[in-house]
Amino acid sequence: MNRGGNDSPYILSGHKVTMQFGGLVALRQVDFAVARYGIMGLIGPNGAGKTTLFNCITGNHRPTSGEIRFQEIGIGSLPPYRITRLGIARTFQNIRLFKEMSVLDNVLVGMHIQIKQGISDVLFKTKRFSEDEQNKAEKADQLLEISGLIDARSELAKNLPYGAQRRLEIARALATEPALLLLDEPTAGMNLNETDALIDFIHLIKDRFNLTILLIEHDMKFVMGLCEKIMVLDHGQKIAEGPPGEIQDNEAVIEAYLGRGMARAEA
Amino acid sequence: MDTATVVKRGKLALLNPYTKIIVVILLFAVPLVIHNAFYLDAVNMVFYFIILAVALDLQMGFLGVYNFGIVGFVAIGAYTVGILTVGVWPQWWGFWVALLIGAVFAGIVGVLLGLSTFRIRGDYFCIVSLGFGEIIRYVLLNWVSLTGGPMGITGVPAPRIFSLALASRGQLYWFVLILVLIVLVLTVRMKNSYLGRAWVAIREDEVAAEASGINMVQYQAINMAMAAVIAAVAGGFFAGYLNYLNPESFVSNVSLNIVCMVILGGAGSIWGAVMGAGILTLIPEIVRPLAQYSSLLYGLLMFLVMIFRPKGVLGK
Repeated sequence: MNRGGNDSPYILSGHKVTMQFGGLVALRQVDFAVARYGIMGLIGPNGAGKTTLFNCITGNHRPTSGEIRFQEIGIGSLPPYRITRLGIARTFQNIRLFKEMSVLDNVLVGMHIQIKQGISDVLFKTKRFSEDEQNKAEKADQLLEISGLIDARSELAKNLPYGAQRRLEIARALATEPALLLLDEPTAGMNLNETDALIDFIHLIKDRFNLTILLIEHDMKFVMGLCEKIMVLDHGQKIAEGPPGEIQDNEAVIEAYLGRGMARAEA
Repeated sequence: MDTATVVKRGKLALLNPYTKIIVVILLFAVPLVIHNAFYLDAVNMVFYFIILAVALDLQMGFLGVYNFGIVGFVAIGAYTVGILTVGVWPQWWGFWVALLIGAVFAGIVGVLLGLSTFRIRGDYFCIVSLGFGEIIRYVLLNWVSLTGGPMGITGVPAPRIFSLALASRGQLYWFVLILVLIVLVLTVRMKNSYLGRAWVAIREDEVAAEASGINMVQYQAINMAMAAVIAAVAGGFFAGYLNYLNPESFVSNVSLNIVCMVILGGAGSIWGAVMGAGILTLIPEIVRPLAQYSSLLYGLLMFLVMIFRPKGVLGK
């Protein structure tokens, strides 16, 4: 199988990833591969293990067994901050902003790994410090511009409306300059207009930053419209994978979502 | 612009460069006007506690870690100066070298404490840090050959610059004022840099901070080291100021007092820490005639502030 090397079409791949919490098997021998520069969707009923898989990829959980490789590097045992440094950024299901920090500072924290100064530069306020801060602030403003948050840059993050908080979280993730962006239920709690705007926004950032995107989503219209490929988890196991059209007609998927009886009735 | 805006920006936005210079000059002129040793003593102690409250605010306000053992670092700085100036280097430069060594030593202890406690948060860290402070005090009490035990160390020389001894209250005022200004400048700089942002990010959400590429262990250790170094420098000043050291000066009550200063002023606000240190250091001096009610007043003040300004006088 292809393990996702730099010359490979896959940026991220997992091989027999298993995650066990005590007696509960949250992921069972899941194989997956995410195509470079693609948008892949991860769907499944509640409790299927979608967020657990995200947490394994980002280092929040250490898989019980199996292997995850990102750009040819095994990342299964790395802590989250090192995985971020390798080029994977994420957002969270229940927004996790730095609430008491300004919108601008949230994005500046996202730029942490690109800091080009040391403690002595801070203490002596060297030229390097001023230039780096200036540089970072300009870059942060660009990101806020793209995210439509530039007018709110000095607001505290907690005071933003819901949709804007989602966009800020994405902007903060983009600030780490990722190659792969993981979005955990980006449309949760959004109305139709906001969801449509989010689709445009995701296309925009994907093209602009050459991103690969992997997203968890419950809004089927959103997933089917946006993703090139979809992977379905149920009870910790992968039950289907393929383009949206195929997934919609896949019996195992319909069964997982609607139950066995419904699947038969529909057939 | 009201004070809240000034504090929000974390710097003296109110003061343009000229007023800043004038304020500093006025501060330096104080001993030329006030010669009363009692007043100068009180102000010097305020400055001493401002340094400690600002150091602790780096931890409580920024990182969100409640360190109840900061006095341990003060003691390390003070005893390093005491031991080295009395027994090893009585020369004029001895004090300054000892001050530096004490700061570095406290910084190393701070890093070790930070590394060994990085998994412990919240209430648990309070207990561990309280224990740390007490351990240091017990070492001071029991390592008699080095620290003099309960008798302490007497005859710690005043800081000297060549043959000029900073012995009068006024000269020591200038010394501690310079320390305060340096500490304030450096902490404001840290606050408005990637360091301050990383600390606050960890305080706000550890998971999101790590996901942003912040190595939590590293930044907690840096934070602990910074607070420890600043506290140790204050301790070194304290040794040269009182000329006498005794474990009684480093009981955990002192740590609690500094915690109260930070909370009263408003955790996370450097100027709040300055204000808290000022208020809580001066209250016992002001109500000295009513000494038996001093604790009552102290408690009442904390009580009222917590009811009407739960996040501190200058807190948001």
